[in-house]
Amino acid sequence: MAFWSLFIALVGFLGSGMSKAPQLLLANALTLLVGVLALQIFSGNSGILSFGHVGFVGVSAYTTGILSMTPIVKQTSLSSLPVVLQDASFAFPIAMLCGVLAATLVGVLSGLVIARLRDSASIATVGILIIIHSTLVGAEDFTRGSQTFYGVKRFTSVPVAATVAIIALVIARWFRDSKTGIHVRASRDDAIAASSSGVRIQQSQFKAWVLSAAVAGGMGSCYAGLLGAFSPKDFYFTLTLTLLTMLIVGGSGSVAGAVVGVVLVMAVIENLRKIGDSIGLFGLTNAGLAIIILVTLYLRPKGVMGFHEPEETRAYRGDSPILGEAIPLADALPAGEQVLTATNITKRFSGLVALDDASMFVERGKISGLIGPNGSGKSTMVNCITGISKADSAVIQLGDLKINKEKTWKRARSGLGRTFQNIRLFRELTVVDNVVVACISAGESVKASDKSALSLLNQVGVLQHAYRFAGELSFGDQRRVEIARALALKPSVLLLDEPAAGMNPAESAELLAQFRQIMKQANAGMLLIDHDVTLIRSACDSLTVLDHGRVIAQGDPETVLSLPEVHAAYLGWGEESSDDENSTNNER
Amino acid sequence: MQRKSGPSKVTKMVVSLSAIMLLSACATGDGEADATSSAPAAGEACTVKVGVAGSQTGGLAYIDVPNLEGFELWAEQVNAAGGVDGKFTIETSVKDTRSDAAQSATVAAELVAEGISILITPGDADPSIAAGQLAQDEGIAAVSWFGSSPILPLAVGDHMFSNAFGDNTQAKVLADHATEKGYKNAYTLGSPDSAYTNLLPGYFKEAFEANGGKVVGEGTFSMGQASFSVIVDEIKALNPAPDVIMTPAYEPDFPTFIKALRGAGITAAVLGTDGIDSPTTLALADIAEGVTYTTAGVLKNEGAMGTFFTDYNAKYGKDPETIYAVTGYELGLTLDAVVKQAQSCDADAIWQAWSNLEGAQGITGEISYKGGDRMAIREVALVEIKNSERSLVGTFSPDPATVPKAQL
Repeated sequence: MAFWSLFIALVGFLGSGMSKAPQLLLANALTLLVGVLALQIFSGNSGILSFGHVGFVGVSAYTTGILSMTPIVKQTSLSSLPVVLQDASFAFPIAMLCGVLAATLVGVLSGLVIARLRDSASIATVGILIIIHSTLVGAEDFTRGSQTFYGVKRFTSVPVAATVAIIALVIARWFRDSKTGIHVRASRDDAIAASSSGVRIQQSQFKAWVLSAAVAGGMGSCYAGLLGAFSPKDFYFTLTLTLLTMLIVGGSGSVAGAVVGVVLVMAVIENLRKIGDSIGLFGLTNAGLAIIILVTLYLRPKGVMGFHEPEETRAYRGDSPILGEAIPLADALPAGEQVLTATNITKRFSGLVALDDASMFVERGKISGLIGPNGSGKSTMVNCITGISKADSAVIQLGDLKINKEKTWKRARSGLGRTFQNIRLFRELTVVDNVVVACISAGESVKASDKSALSLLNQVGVLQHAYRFAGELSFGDQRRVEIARALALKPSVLLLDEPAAGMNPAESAELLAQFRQIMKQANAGMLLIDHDVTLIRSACDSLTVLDHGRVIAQGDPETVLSLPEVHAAYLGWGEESSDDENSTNNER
Repeated sequence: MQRKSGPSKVTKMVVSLSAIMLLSACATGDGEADATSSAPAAGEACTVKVGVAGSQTGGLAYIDVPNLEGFELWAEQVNAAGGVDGKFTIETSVKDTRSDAAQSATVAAELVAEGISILITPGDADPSIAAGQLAQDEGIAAVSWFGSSPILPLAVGDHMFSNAFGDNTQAKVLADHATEKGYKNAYTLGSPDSAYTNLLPGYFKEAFEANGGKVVGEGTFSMGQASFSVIVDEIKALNPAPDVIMTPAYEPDFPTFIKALRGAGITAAVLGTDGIDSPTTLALADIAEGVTYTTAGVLKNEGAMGTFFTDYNAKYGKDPETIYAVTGYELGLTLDAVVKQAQSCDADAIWQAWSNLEGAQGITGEISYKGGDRMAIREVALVEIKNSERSLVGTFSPDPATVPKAQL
């Protein structure tokens, strides 16, 4: 970050000594950088492409314009303005601040909607752009409608734009590694895993949206002072596409990508324009832009800088992690107490009854097993307990806490840690950050989370990979990271969905020993779902068998597994392939 | 130790390279000699350097590209004859603004640094204002190719002009025509989506009611809306029914509207503005029959324009497609008159002469600036569509005192 700030400061310093045309060009580039950084804060971290941010730019530009103009100019150009605004004339830094505030306010209002959406959020941002545009056109008394709004003092010099750009850069970089930033990035990589790790996706998304609206407001006030005259059409799809192109070319996932995108695209536009002007070939710029987008998407689909900050990549290449002190995971409480009680769970999918009045429990310090043939309702049971599916009726208690009405993230924060049958890690986050996500949910600061996460990684034996990206690890190591992430929630119950899938008997046995150790340390109960009957038999203290959504047997493993109805069900399932589930959320 | 700063070598290389590219882009085209500082004394031969900040690409290219073609044709002809008055040669420097306001400002600053004597700006208010402000700061006259919003010169200052007649002027011509035809009741249809479609109905209303007519209904539409049936029903329900309907709508709204209007059996006369002066309108055949609209002139290979057709064809190997090629050529003719008057290549002398220009001979008529609000005072052609062809009703030059005041 220091590097980029220095870089911008240097550009600003060099630029302020140049003549007018390059100064305008640099001020324009720096202004655009502020907008691209705003987009990076939301779109880069959340993975939701936003078309709406230019709307905030517009809101701020008009607010800054109205508040910085002299009353005399307003008398002619904005005669219908309310008297209070008619007389108001502030120095440009105050007007800029008001512009940012106005954009933030609109960000809060629109964020209430955007935060609730996920897949359709991008489309909704288009709606927001259109609504803001129509409002700017309609609010004639304030904006002169579709006519040119003129008379704004041109205060955006290179130093002004550079200052705002540096502030935006610091905010964007700080946000990326803040609690909310890490949570938003986790939700980008995997929403289900994120909420199961205690991430309040809606809230994090909302915060990112509002902050990015404020930064977009920064661009708006600079833009107003750069152009001096503008109309609503200047804050519409053309500018949106320019900003998105810069972000996509540079790489949306990192702040460095935003800077590189602006520098690269501006360099291409300017050089090609100059060549085009000198030889009279005017379409060269557009052709060049199209080529640079295609080449980037072909060679580096995630943009020139990819998803990661350069320093993240360097950390994992070189240094070895420094281990913090081992931390106590949970308060020591007497074993044998029921930590999870799930009773009378019924879940129907249209006509199909996936779970029919099923009940089970987990005790502290004990491993409860859950088995059943394909489609017997195991995953539905897990989903109902974790809150990913909503049970039609159920009483679920975590210790003394009734959680059946709580959201997934709340259940996770209350002490329900889980792993997934098909590993769900945050692939673009470093291994340590995967665990940090859950540490933050458990209430730790980012700094303390770093320490705790390293300690947990050490415990599960993957400390050496701490600074690699999760997606690069081997299958077995990814499992271990998932377990460390679940443990980071300081859970009272650990829910492990087929943790031994794909392992040979020796590995399974080793894993089992590790479970016992972890459980003891974490002072938690464990719910183990697996197909491996040998593992289940040797690991579990109690066993529940599901068939057609009903509990057909419950008790100690030896007794349960010898029952004829279990045997029948077991035989049926033994013949089928082991990949019985596609994912935890659609399997019944 | 995890969250540290300091990028990798690759990053540094990529950024440094791009930065060098960007800075080199900043450095070139800058710092050329300031021609105005070493301008020869009045009357001596010199070169008038014309800076063109034109939208060669993007949404405004449809106005700016043909205008530049017309202008360059004029410059070539003048230089072939030894320059204006045989001694003031014309040098044109063209830079693309990409129809973008911020880029227009940068380009204008580059042109100013090249030492231009006059700046030509795009045919739309926003980029023209952004570019014009820089010329204004330096005391250089700026002229928009064909920006017709009358606030354009007012927003920038006394150095900003436009080669177009103002929208208020064309509305006055339409209103006078309606009155002359004996129409009493009018309906106007505008759209808040652009300054052009928003303000023209208001100018028309002011002029028409000053003439004694009455606007009995005012409708609005959204640009690009799919159906006009609600608006047409509204017009049908009006009492008294309008004898004339005035609208600044253009493609694709104008064809949709007039089809719906005629489809509903409404036969009231329709008045349009220069936005519909396109082949699409002519292609409407019977439906557009009788539609009358204002424009800069009738693009026809005959009379004074016939010579232009021949010359244009000789240079570009095609006939001009829009009247904007003619207006570009006329901007050249205006500059011709200005330089003859100024007898100098000095920016200030050219600005003075431009402000006081009277009666420059264009192709479509005379062009003046003196006594106006820096919009060209030029004849407005009124065209009626007859048998799918443009037919000239007449050319008009309303007294500036009777034209509705520009809405600020």
